[in-house]
Amino acid sequence: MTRCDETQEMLNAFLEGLLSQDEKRRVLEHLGTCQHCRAALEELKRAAQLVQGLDDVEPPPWFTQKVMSRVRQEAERKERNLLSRLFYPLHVKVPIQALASVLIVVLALYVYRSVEPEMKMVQTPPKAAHEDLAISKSEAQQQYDKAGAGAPSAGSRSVPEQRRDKATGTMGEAPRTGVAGIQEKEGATPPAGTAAEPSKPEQKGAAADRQAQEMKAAAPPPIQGESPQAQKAPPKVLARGEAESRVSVETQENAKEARSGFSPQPAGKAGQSSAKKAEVAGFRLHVNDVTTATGEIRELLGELGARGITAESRDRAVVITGELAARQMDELSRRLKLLGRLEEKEAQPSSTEGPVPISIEVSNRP
Amino acid sequence: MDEDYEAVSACQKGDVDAFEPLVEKYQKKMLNVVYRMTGDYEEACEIVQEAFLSAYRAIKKFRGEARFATWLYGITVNHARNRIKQTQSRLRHEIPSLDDPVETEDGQLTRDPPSGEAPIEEQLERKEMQMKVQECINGLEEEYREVLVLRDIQGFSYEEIHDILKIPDGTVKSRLFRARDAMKHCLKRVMGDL
Repeated sequence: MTRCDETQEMLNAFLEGLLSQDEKRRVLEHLGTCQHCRAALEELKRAAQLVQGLDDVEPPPWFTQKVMSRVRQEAERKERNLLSRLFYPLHVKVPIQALASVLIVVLALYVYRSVEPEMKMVQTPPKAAHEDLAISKSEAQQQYDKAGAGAPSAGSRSVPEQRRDKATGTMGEAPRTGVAGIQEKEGATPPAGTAAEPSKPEQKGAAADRQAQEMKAAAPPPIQGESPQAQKAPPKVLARGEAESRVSVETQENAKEARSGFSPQPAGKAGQSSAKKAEVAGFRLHVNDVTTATGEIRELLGELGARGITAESRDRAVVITGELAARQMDELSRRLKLLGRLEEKEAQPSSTEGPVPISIEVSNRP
Repeated sequence: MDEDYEAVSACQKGDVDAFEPLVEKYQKKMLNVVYRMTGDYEEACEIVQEAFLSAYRAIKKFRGEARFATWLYGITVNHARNRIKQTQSRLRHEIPSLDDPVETEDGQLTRDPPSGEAPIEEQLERKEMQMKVQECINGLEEEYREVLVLRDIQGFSYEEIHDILKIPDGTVKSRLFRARDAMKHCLKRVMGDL
């Protein structure tokens, strides 16, 4: 490398003042003797002057406004994007829609399942009646005759019991004075020997058959064994002895109370036909829904083999009457307790066999 | 502390209006850097707008490691580089036309508001000379052009250039000296004598 080349390479640094003292001295010594390198230095200075002397350009007058306009649009777009990210973008929207669909289906199933039992309850009574109608009359007659054979004789009952029987037989039927009402009363409280009325809509043939067999048996089987539903009942079911202890012996006061609660029996054919003296097992049940409970009780009575089931509306209550085998009383009491708050206002008959008139007053909880 | 700290903080908190003084403050220098890099005034205006927008979008990420101005110039130079690359790529695929306007300061003069004064001969000569200088700048390789513009035209320090371009000081100097030598040769060629 010649001295000129070396010097010219250092000229930029020399102009910038970046050379060491030694380098600077050598460059200066060479420049003092070399016209060519001095010219190169001058050209370099001139070029730098030309570059540095370039005029500045001014931004257009609208420039700031235009930039800020775009910046503000950007800021608004950011806000919109934030909102749209929350609600509209596809990657969020699709899962939300799917989740919503699943929730709707689950909710629909839940509502359907929660309403289904109530719908069944509402539909049950007509269904039961329909089934009852389907039973052949002769079979019903036969079963009822069998059951009635084991009934205690009416003559063995006391006078108050006879009055009670009359009252029970006309529960809630005070306004009725016509023949139809009388006929219904006859059906509701059939005499032991002649009660095989073919028009017992609530009686189930199978239940009657079972009851008849039980009547024939010397010792009744355990209650739990009689009804499949009883086995499925919650473990809160009271023991038989306990249930019995809750049923007080019927007194005359109770009988009077019952009469005052029920309408007096009109004079006529019905009074004559219900000459049988019978103890009446009375229950008062407080429930949340009288209609549903009535349906369930009717079903229960049918299941337990009750006969002559009638239901009459009185004020805000429904009175269900019928005849039930005495041995089934415990089960009836236990099952009624499952439906609501039960008051056993009438004593359980002392006899453990034969049909016993029952009355269940179903009313709303106070 | 960064002289723009308050305005930048306000912007970071979502105050859009706080960005305006920053635009006012830096637009001219940014425009001149870009204009000297591209040689096209209109394009330079667009690039600077884009650079401001990018800066606003990214301002929450600005942590103050460098001065805000340096950070902003860095964004600007990057935008200018990208635009130049796009333009060069487009030009390679297009047949150059003799009718294409030459983007010089003459063009910029026509865009300036009319001053009402008749251009004098000196102004014309000056503009012509500046046009030639710009042509030589345009002819530099991009890495030399950036350093020359930042150092010799805009007067940034070596440290600032190092921060803006993210290259070592030695590289800045060597590129600058090469750029100056190239400019000297170019200007001698286009102007006859310096």
